[in-house]
Formats: sequence, structure tokens, C-alpha cells
Amino acid sequence: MNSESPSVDVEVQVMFFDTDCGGVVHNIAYLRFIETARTLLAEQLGMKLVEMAETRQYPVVVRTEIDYRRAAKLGDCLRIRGWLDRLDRARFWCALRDSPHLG
Amino acid sequence: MDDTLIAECRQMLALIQMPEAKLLRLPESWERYRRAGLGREGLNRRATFPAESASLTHMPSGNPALSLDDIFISPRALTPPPTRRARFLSSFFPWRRQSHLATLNWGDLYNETDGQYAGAAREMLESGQWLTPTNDGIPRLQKPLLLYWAIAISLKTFGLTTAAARLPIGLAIVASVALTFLIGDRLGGPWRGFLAGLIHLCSCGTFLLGRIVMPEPVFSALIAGAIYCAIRGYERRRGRRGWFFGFWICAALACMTKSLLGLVYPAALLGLLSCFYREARCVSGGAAQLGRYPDFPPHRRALANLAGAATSRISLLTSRSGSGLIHLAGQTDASHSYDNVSRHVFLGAAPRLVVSVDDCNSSRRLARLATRSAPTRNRDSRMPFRFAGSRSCSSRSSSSGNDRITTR
Repeated sequence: MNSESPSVDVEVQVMFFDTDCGGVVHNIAYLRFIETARTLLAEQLGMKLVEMAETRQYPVVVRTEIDYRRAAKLGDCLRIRGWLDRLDRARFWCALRDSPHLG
Repeated sequence: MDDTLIAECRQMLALIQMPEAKLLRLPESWERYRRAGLGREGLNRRATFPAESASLTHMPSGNPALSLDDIFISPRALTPPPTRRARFLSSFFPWRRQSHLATLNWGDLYNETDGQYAGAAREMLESGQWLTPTNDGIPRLQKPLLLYWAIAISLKTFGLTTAAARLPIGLAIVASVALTFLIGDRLGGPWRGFLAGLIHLCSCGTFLLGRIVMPEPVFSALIAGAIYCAIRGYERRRGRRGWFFGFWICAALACMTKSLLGLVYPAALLGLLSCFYREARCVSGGAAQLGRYPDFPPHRRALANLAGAATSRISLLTSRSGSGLIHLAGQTDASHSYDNVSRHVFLGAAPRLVVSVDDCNSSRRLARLATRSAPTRNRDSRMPFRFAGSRSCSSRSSSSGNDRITTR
């Protein structure tokens, strides 16, 4: 990532409703974290939620690739870092990483 | 690799205009990101996160994120409305009708090739001998039977006219234009497909060669069909077996039109793909399944109608390559006189001679030999080659598969 590319950092705390009966964050919950970060990233790119609703121009997800490396647990504080990864004429890619918030 | 990393994700997005779901180009203001180096390659190529040197470009499977799959046959951001493709396809029709179908009866059959194919089909129709085409009673085994059958059916349906003899060729041109559009549509969108089809339709070769009664237009339409089926099979898991089955049907029909070239061309194209594509390389042994490929019984039966294997080999040799060598030696008979053609034109006959000697048997032997090393990996995500052998390998293959061929 270079300095001019838009990026976003979001902190999320794992709540009860994010976990499953195994006590770890359910795999779908990560996508919700990611969506939060992606939405904020879209704001940086000039696509604010309200403006999107007015113009009726929406970014839609057409593909998701995700690798789960470690399990997050209840109460963990996560940092989701997202950035604009690649641009085509009509498509763009966002890359996002979940990692523990160590700060 | 960062040990603390919990998850990493990559999402592809497209910008659409609702409610018509029209795909939009990205805003002009984003050009500055592109200028900053954020092009097709993506920032991951040189990610500079301090403690996160592991780039998303290298997923655990080892596949680069920017695979050929991404840039070559990535799925549509949005499926265009179904009427759009129909509109494009129908827009070709008046041109095709005028340039190929409406002109079928213009002029007589005028050259040697025309007469050979149409004449053999006529004799086939008259004699009722559908397995051995003949010209003046002499077996004509240079090419397989499909074109003769098509012409004979056309002659039977529409009468002994030049238009009827040319009709299968005209229809093949129409089909190849449509398939060119569909391939381009899949790979680059409807407008690129339209332009590809238009170029094909308007090209001089398509028009001129499409008016000669010969197997090439039918062959090219079938090869286009095979490619289209392969692309569709690659794109989605849903219906993949059906599309790969279609690939083989088209390749089989192409073989019945122009011998084993019907396998050579698709195999060469997919082999080229495998040069760039890891998953395709993994299944290179799948090509060996050609050995289990149906070997066109009618054609082989026709060969067997001759007096023994030796005769058939001699026939193949003389008819396929021998004529070229005879021309090269300057010993042509009156009916095949090409005195005004330079002899070096026929130099290509020599390698063809090597290939054509007993080509059927040797290719099957090679294919069977290679079958022994066929891999036993995930079946659904295979090349179309794999589909041909899937029945034989089903007991040792797992049925799990990715939606896309890419393993990430």
C-alpha cells in the first residue's frame, strides 16, 4: 500500500452475538466486521451512505475470498485494516485484514 | 507471515446504478489512485504494512491472487439483462442472411473441392451407402463423414441444387458468427462480443471460403462451440458437467468433420491455458483421457469396409499426404494437375505423411499410455479433458470442488 491509497482502520470488540457455541467468533461475523470497515472505506472514496441512497449508485460485492487464520474469542478487541487494493474500469478490490488490537 | 493475523479477506466490488442494475464505470476522481500506482496489479504486489509482510497475493494455496482466472474468465460483475444478448444476436441475422444464406444459390459449384464433397454426398444419397462416401464409385476417405451426411440430408430435403449443397456450410458460418459473439460476450462483454462477431462475419475469408463446399466452416463452428462450452464450464460450477459434456460433443463432431484435428485444436488451446494456469497444469494428465474418448465408430467402420487394415493405411497415406508428395515429385495425373503451382507449396506434405500413418491407432495408444498417470484430484474443477474420464475416475475422486477453478 502506498501513502496515497485510501485505507481505514476500525476497532471492533467481539460481543456475545458474534460468537457461536464453541466460544469463538462465528465465521460470518468476520464478514460483518469487514463490511463495517469497507463501508467506512467507501466513505473515504466519496461514497457516503446517504449520498448513495440519493444517487442510487451502490457498490455491490460480487466476490469474496477470505482466509481464516486464527479464532477470535469473546471480548477480544480486533483491528480491521482495509484498503483499496486494485482498480479496473468497472470493478475494484478491497483487501481487509483482521488482527488483534494490541494497543 | 504475521502469527497474530486472524483473517484476511479480499472482496471484488462493482458500482451499479439502481434500480436498473446498470454497471457503471468507476468515478473519474478515482483516477488519482490509479495514477498513484493502483492499477490492475494491485497494491498487494508491494504491500508495505510494517509487520505484515505476508501479502494477500500469496494465499495459503500458493495461487497468486491475480490469476489468469481473474483477468481472463472472471465472472461478470452483473449478469446483463437476458434480452441484451438476444438483441445483439438478432442484430447479426440480417447481415448473415444477406451475406451467406441469401447467396447460397449464386453460381454453380465451381471448383474441385465443391464437386468432391457435394458429389460424394449425392452418391451417398443415391446409393444409400451412408458409411463409405464414394466419388464415381471410388471410396473417398480423406475426411470423416459428418459433412457428407449434412450435405446428403440437405440434398434430400431441398433437392439436388447448389443451394442445398451449400446450406450446411452457410449454417455453419451463421453458427460460428453467433458463437464468436458468445465467446467474446463471455470474455469481454456484449460489445466486444458483437465486434468480434462482426469482424468474423465481415472478413473476406469468411465470405469467400464460406461459399466453398468443404469441411472447414463446419469444423471451425464446432471448435468455436467447444471453446464456448469450455469457457462456460470454467466460469461456474453450476452446470459444469453439462458444459464440459458439450465441449466433448463439439470436439467429437469436429473430429467427425475433419479427423483428429478436432482434438488437436482444443487441446492446443487448453494446453496454452495450462502454461499460465496452475490448476490446468495439475490436470495435464487428464488429456490422456482421450484414450477413452469415443473413436467415431462410423468413421472406423467405413475404413474397415476397405479390404483390410493394410489397404486402409495405404488409402490414408495416399489420400492425405501422398497427393502432396506426388505433386512434389511432379507426377500428378490429369485430374489433379497443378502445373501452375510451385512445387514448394507441397513441401508441407512430408510432416503430414509422418503424422497420418496409422494416426488413429498410434494416438489411441499414446493416450492410453498417458492415462496411467492421470491424477486423482478434485473432479469438478477440472479441465474439460477431465470430464471425459470422470466416469472412469469417479471411484477414486473426491466430489468436493470449488465454485471456481481457482484454489485459494
